Amino acid sequence: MAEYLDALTYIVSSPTNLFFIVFSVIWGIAFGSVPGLTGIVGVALLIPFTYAFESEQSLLLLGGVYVGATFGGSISAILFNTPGSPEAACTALDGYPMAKRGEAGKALGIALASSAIGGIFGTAVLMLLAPPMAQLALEFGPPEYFALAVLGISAIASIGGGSVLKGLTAGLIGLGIATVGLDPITGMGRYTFGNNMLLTGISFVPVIIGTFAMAEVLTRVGEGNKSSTAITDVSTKLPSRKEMKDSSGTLARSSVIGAIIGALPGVGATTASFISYSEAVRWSRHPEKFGTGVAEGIAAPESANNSAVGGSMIPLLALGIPGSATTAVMLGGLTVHGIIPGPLLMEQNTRLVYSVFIAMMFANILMLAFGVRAARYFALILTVPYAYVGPAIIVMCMTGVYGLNGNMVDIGVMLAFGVVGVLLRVMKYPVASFIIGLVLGPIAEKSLRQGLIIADQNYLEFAARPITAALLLLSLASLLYGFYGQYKLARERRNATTVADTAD
Amino acid sequence: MTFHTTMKPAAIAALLGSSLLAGPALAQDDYPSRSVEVVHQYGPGGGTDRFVRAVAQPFEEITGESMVSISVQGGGGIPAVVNFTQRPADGHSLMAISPAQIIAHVQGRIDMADFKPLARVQYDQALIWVPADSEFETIDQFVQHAKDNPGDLKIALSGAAGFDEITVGLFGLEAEADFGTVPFSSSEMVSNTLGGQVDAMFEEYGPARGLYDSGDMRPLVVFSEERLPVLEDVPTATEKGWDVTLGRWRAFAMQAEDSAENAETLYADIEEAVATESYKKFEEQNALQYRSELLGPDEFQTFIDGEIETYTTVLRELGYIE
Amino acid sequence: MSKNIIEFSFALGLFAVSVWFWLIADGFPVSPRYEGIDTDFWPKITFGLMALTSGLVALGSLRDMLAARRVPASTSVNPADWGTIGRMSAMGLLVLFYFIAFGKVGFVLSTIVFLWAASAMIPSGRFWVKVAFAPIFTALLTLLFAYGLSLPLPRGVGPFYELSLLLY
Repeated sequence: MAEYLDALTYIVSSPTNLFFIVFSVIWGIAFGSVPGLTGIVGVALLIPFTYAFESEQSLLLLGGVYVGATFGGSISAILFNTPGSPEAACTALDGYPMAKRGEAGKALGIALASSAIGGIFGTAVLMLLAPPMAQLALEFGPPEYFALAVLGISAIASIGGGSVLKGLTAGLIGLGIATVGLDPITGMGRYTFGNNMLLTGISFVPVIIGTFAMAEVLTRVGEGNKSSTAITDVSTKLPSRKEMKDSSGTLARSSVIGAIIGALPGVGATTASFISYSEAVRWSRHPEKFGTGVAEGIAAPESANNSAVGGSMIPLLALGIPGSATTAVMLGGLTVHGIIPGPLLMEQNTRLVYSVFIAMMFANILMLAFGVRAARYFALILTVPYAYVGPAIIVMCMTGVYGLNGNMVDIGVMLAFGVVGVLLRVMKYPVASFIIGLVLGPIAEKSLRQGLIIADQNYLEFAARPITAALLLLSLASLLYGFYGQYKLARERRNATTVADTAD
Repeated sequence: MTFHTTMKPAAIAALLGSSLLAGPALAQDDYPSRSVEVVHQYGPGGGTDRFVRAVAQPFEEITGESMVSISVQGGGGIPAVVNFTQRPADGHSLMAISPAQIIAHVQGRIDMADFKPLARVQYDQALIWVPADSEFETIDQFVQHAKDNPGDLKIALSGAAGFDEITVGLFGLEAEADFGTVPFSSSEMVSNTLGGQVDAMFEEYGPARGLYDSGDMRPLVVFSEERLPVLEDVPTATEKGWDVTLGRWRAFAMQAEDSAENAETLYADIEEAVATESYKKFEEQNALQYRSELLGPDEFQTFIDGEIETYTTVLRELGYIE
Repeated sequence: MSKNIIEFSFALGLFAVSVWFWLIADGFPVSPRYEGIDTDFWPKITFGLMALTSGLVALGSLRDMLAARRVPASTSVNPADWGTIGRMSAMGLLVLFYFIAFGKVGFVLSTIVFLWAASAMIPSGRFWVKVAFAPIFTALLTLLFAYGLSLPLPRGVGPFYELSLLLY
């Protein structure tokens, strides 16, 4: 308790510290919400400042940006179908349909409340359970990563009210596209067709911006004069107690998933949001409704990705391992101040560690306050005629994607996937499955092959580990259950049409 | 150069219709006359990014012009090189290069002739680390086990077919032992080694030092000519009779067509910058002071030629190139 | 053109691509160190499965197509759809030109021209506002990216690079 008191006094005693927390949350929301500018860019731009300030202050700053950016992405995802950051890609799946229905305010409110709940949960886990969670994370070897990815991927059988085969195909397209570029194990080029620039592969951010934002602008332009998608209600309302209670199962499950996945090195908020979306679909009594604008479809990814923020600080603080791009920058910031990251960090720098805990708690609460306001300003853009907004979104996406890496190939990828996004929608292949395959495919491939190297290619040895076997069996069961559910749904529908036909 | 100096005012006149922004054609002795941009292939906050920023700080005080780190990630560094070579050779675009470029050159993906070596600043040394509860106390036991059980020992490393894998591969060839290698991202490499999924890992001293201080990892051997002053008990590979001294270095290169005068000016500035107190402090914080020796354009060129030769031999022996 | 035919050809196209990519994977260079889990390992699994599922989708839509032949084609693409496709392709082409110019001409010029053209294509909004919007928005974005955030913006090549250097 004394540590908390000490850290709290440290933060409160200096107006600079308080200002940093407020500033960083706003900065984070801004970077998260502008398409193309992700939280990582926001963090990278602050690197020079982290050199100039105390180590505690630089972590406050970066931690706040991380928290704000993870929520910020959902604003543009919901209002423009343009995920501002990869963590928010899942939020667009149900957030935008809900906004299109005229319930933008409600969608934003759910996103905000879920983010805060997830964020506070993740931070609490970080405060109370960091050492045991770090030990748990070390139990996860490649086979466990593989099983986790498979579990997420298996949900594609349940997603989308249409055909199972189309869902699977869309998922496999995602998996296939992820294989372009350098092989993660052998370092050879794949599907580059002699063009070395393609060794970069198909990066995730350009693809989601393409499939969501570009496809959306093209569709809107295609509609011409029709104003069917005008979003009117934008007054952000936090959900009522009853609504929160309805989603409580999803929120609890997603927050736990988020914290655990966040704590695993190498995977983070994006993976957490996708796996918890998959789980929300799997556990729902109406899996076919996902993608049409259900509350749980927003609550699941938003609580998971914010919970993962707290989770991803665990390996950094408890072991000195940066589990994500943002925490890697934080690690650099620590080194500059002469702090050696490692298992001793928590013992030797108590004030630093506890200040981070408290600051992240503050940041999550501040996010609630600023989120409502930020969403309101963003919503003003909706009143501007589309002749300005549409082209401006394209320009922002191009500039943002270029700014990310200075790579023209990424922009090409973004444009190509704008067309792919339109095709998938028109041909009724679920975009959700496609994106899940794209995100989880590389994790599945890499960890499967790493695990097989370690197990000397003995598949039984690979799978015969308690966590791996349990997760794999669960995925198999879920795959079968998904098929059964879709089969039942198809039969009901066929019966319904026959009834309708005879009624004619 | 004439093309650039004549084009500048012409373009302004044509497109802005104003002479507000047009200064006189810039003389050589003004160099550098605007911010120097350093392209590299690594992410923000990574080792190379921090290296550029650490040099940039004193560089700015010395020259009055800023030095900016530009990160072009992915694709085994190819996009970064393409971005660099498309820039004009006016001395204001540099690239931060490392063994990754030598490897890409040997694999035929890029051409080192596109670069004019400027200054090698850092030269690191890596070690083989085992977790604290490992049965191996010395490198001899480790190598003996690998000889008795070919392929049984798995060494985690970061990146595929890169510097790490080549160094460990060369170590295996020299020690006549068969090690399995498992490529990971650098954070997963550490967690999998700590968690006992693999037997050992390959990492530089700086990033692993926290785990050494806490007693979670134990170094077995260092790949360098001399023992590290902070790890007096850890033998070098050379003294065991295995000639493996490859180290990760970080350096600046200019465009091949850049003028020699500019290179000289810039080298002098960099030389001054890395001699400053602030850079020395950075070097110490990252445990890079042991082997880092500043090499000027000519020595660096010789060094690169040697590296190309070494890497070609190793990559051929490992079967990566014909 | 019936909807079923489009459906069928799309699935058939996917099937063809997955078979083609499987064959490319078969030709990947062999790595001596990672036999059994080589470069082609995962792509073959992925594209093999994709060939299977997309083949089944194609067969399914072929069956629907044959069944629908008995019913007069009421699901053909109507003129309104052609308008949509036309507008989308026009915008798509414009974006493609913008992409090419983005790299070659640099950020400022290509963006102003693109914004003029694109906003002219979309019916809503007033003419003079559109004319003014393009340069203002571009200037703001340049200020934000190049000066505020010091992020890279494309400068184009040759003389355009020189021009861009004067602006950011």
